Amino acid sequence: MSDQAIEIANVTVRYGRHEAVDDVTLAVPRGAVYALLGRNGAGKSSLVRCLLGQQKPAAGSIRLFNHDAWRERAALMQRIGVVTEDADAPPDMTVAAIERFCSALYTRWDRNEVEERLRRFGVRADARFGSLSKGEKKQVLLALALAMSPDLLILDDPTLGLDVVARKSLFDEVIGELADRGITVFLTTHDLSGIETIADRIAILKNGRLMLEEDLDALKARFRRIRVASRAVAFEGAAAVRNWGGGSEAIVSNYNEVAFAHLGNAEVAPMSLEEIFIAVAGETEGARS
Amino acid sequence: MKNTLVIARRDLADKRFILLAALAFGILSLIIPLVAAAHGGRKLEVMIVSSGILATAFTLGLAAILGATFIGRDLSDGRLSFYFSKPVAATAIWFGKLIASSLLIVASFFIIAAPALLSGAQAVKHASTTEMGKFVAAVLIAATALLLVTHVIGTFIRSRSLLLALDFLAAVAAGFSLWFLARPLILGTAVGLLRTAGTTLAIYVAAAIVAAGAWQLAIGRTDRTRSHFELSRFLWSSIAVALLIACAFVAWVVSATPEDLIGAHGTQSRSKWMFLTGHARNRGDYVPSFLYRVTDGRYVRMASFPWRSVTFSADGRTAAWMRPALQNKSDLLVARLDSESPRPVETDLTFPPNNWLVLSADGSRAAIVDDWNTLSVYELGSRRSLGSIHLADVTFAVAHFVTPDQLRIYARTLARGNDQAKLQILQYDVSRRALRMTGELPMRSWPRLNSDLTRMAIVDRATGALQLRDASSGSLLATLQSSAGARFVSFRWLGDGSIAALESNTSGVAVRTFDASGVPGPRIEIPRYADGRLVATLDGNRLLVELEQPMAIALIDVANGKIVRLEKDLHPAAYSNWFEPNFAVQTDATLCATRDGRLVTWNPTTGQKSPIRR
Repeated sequence: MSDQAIEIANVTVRYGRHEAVDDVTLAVPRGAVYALLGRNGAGKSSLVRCLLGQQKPAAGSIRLFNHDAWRERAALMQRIGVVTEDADAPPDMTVAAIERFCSALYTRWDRNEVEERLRRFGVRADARFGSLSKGEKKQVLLALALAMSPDLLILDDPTLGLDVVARKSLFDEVIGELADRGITVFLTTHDLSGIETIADRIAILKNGRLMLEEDLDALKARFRRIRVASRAVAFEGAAAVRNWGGGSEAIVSNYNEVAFAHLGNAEVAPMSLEEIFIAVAGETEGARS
Repeated sequence: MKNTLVIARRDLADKRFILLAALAFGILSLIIPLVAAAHGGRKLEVMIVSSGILATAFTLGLAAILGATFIGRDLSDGRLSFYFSKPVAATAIWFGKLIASSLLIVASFFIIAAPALLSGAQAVKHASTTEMGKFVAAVLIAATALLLVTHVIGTFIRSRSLLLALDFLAAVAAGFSLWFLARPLILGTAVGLLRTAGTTLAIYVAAAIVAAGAWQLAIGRTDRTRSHFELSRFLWSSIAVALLIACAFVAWVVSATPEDLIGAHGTQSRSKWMFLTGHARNRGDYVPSFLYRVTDGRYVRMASFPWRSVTFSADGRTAAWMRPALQNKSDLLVARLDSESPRPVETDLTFPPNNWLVLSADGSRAAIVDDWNTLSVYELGSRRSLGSIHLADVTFAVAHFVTPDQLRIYARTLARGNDQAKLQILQYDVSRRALRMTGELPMRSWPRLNSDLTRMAIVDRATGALQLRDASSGSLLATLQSSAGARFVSFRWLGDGSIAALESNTSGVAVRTFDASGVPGPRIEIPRYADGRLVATLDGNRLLVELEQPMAIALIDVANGKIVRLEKDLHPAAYSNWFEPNFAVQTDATLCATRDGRLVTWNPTTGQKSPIRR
C-alpha cells in the first residue's frame, strides 16, 4: 500500500491551446496538510477538479489512495470530503435538506456532528442555502465534508470571500479535526497567513507550472531577506536583489549561515510564507489572470 | 440504484411546486364550465375538453422546460459539481434526474386531466374509451420526446460552443438521410413498413438520447463544453449507426427481384416485356415493380410503384409510367424496351395527379389526362408540348392515339338534373390543336376497343346485352344477346374482328363467339366452373380463359370450338387495363401464378410450366 494519499504524475490540463496545468508532478503523504499556492489563474482549481475526478487531464495520472481519481471517482468520494471554491449546493435547498440528502449517500455519516458544528458556526438548519452568506456556505460545506469522517479533505480556496473571523473559524475547525483524526488535508488558498501554522508541505504553481514543492519548515529555513550597507555585493543564488537605502537587499533561496558568513554585518531576516510566495510567484511577467 | 432514487427524490422535492401548479390547473378546468358564457349548456363536456386542453398544454410545456433545464441548468450554473463531489455514479445522477422529471410530467398530466379521465369518454360526443387511451398515450409520448429533445438542444445551446454548427450540419445530414431512406419505401407504397421502421427508429433515437445523456455525464461530468462534445459524439454516432442499419435494411427491401414476388400481377405488352408488380417475400407491404421480359427473365427495376399502371406503345418497344412526386405531382418516366439494357429514363415532365397516360403506336408521343381533365400531348424525344386542352364538363376521360396526330377521347360527362351521364367521343387534332365531338351516347359502361380502334364493345348494364358500336361515331352496329338464363361476364376482340364473350349461368360458364356483324358462332361449354373471365387472345383465334371456383386456366380454340388445355391450380398473373387495346400475352410463355402465389411461365401450347428466372 502506498504511503501517499495523493499522487499526481505529469498532469497536464488544456483548454483549447491554453495549458492551465503543465506537466505537474507531486505527492501528498498520508496525514499531511498540503497547501497548493498560486495566483489567480495559476491552475489550482483545474488541478483540484482533476483530483476530484470531475475533469480528465489531457495527460498524466492522478491517484488517490492508490486508486485512479477519474475512473474510481464515485467510490473514492466515500473517503473524500470536499469544500469547493464556489459553494455549489442547490440554493433552494435548506441546510437540513442538504444534510439529509448527503447522509443518504455516504456509508459513514455522523448527523450529530453536523448539527453540533452548525450550531457552533451559528448556521440555522432551516435556512435556505442560497440565503446564507459566503462564509456560512463554506461553513456548511465544511460541516458536511467532515461528517463522513473523510480520509482526505480537499479544500479549494475555502476562505475566499470570508471575513477575518469566518476565516479563523474555518481554519480552527480544520486544525481541530487534524488534531482529532489525523486526516490528510489538501488545500488551495490565497490566505497564506492562515495556513502558515497548519501546513506541513507547500507547493507553488505559477502559470500552470510547479515552481516549488517542499516541507514548509525547510522552505522557510532556506529563504532569507538579507540587507547590506554596500551596493557592491554579489548575492549568490539570490531570487531578487534591489537597492535599499544606501545599500542592497536580496532575497535568497539557498540561505545557510556558513555560505553567507562573508557578508559580515549583514542584516539577515527570516521570511513569512507570504513573502516567500511573492518572491516566487509574484512576478507579473507571464502571469495569467 | 439506491443513489439513483436518492437523486430522484431530491429533484422531486426540489420541484414539488410543479405539482401544486398542476393542481391549480386541474381546479381551473373545473371552474371554466361554471363561467356562464363558456359552457353553452354542456358543462360536463366543456369541463372534459378544457381539462384535456390544459393537461396537454401544461404537460408539453413542462416537458420542454424540464428537458432544457434538468441537467443543463446545473451544468451551466456550475452546480453539477455538488453531485460529482459525492459518492454518486454519473449514471445515478442522470437517471435520478430523468426519473424525477418523467414522474413530474406524468403526475402533472394526470392531476390536470383527472376531471376528464374520471368523467369518462362517453361524456364527450364522438369520443370513446379507446380514443381517450390513445389521447393519453399520444400526449405522454410527445412529452417524453420533448423532454429528451429539449435536453439535447439545451445542452448544445448552453455550451456556447462552435460545436453547435457541427450539430446543425449533422442534424441536416440526418434529416436528408432519413428522407433518402424513406423515399424508396414511399415509392414502393410501403406505408406499414415505413411506419414500423419509423417507430423503431424513433424508439432507438429516444434510447440513444437516454444513453447519450448518461454518457455525457459519465465523460463530460462538470465541464459543459466537454459535456456537449460527448453528448454530440454519442448521439450522432448512434444515429449514424442506426442510419447505416436502416440503409442496409432499405437496400435489402428494395433489392427484391421478380423471383421474390408473391401473388404478383401486371400487364403485358405486344412485345415480350410486361409490367410486373406485387408484394415480395419477407418485405412487408413494400411493392416492388418491374419491367419483366417473360421469355428470359430479364427485368428492369422501376424503383417506384407506378401511378395507376404502366402503358406500353402498340409496337411494344416503349413503356411509360408516372412516378408519384412531391407536392402531389407525378413525374413521367419512360423505358426503351428494344435497347440493349433498358432502364427508366426521367423525362423531366411533371404533371398533376392523372387518370390516364397513353403512348402513340411508335412510342414517340405521350398523352396525359390529369385529374382536372386537361389533356396534354408531348413529344417524348424533345420533351416538347404539342398541345393541351381542357375537357369541360367531364368526370373521367381516356384517350387513344389513332395516329400520332389524332387522339380519340372517350369522356364521361356530368349528369345534370335527371339527365343520364353521357359517353362523349371526341377527336383531338394535335397539329391543329382542335377538338371536336364525333359521337355521343348514353353512358352504359366503359367501352372496350379493338386493336385497330375502329370498333368498340359496350355492355348494356340495363339489359345485359353486348353492344358493338363504331369506335368513332358510337353508332350501334349490332346487339349481342347472352343465352337464356345466362349473363355476359367478360368479352374479348378476336384477331379477325369477331368477338368472344364468356357467359355464366348456374351450371357453369361457356364461351360464345360472334362474327364481325354479330352473327353467333359456336358455344363452347366449360362445365363445373362457377365464374371466369377472358384474359387474352392468342394469335387471333385462341383464347386464354381464367376460371374460378375452382381455380384453373384454359386454352380455347375458338375456330374448332374446343378446349385445348385446362390447367388446374393456376391463374394468369397479367391482366389488361379495361381500356387497354394493346394488351397481349406471349403465346409461348404466359406469366401465371400458382395457388400459393409462386410465379411460373406457362406454355399454353405444350402445357409446360417453368419457374420464373432472375
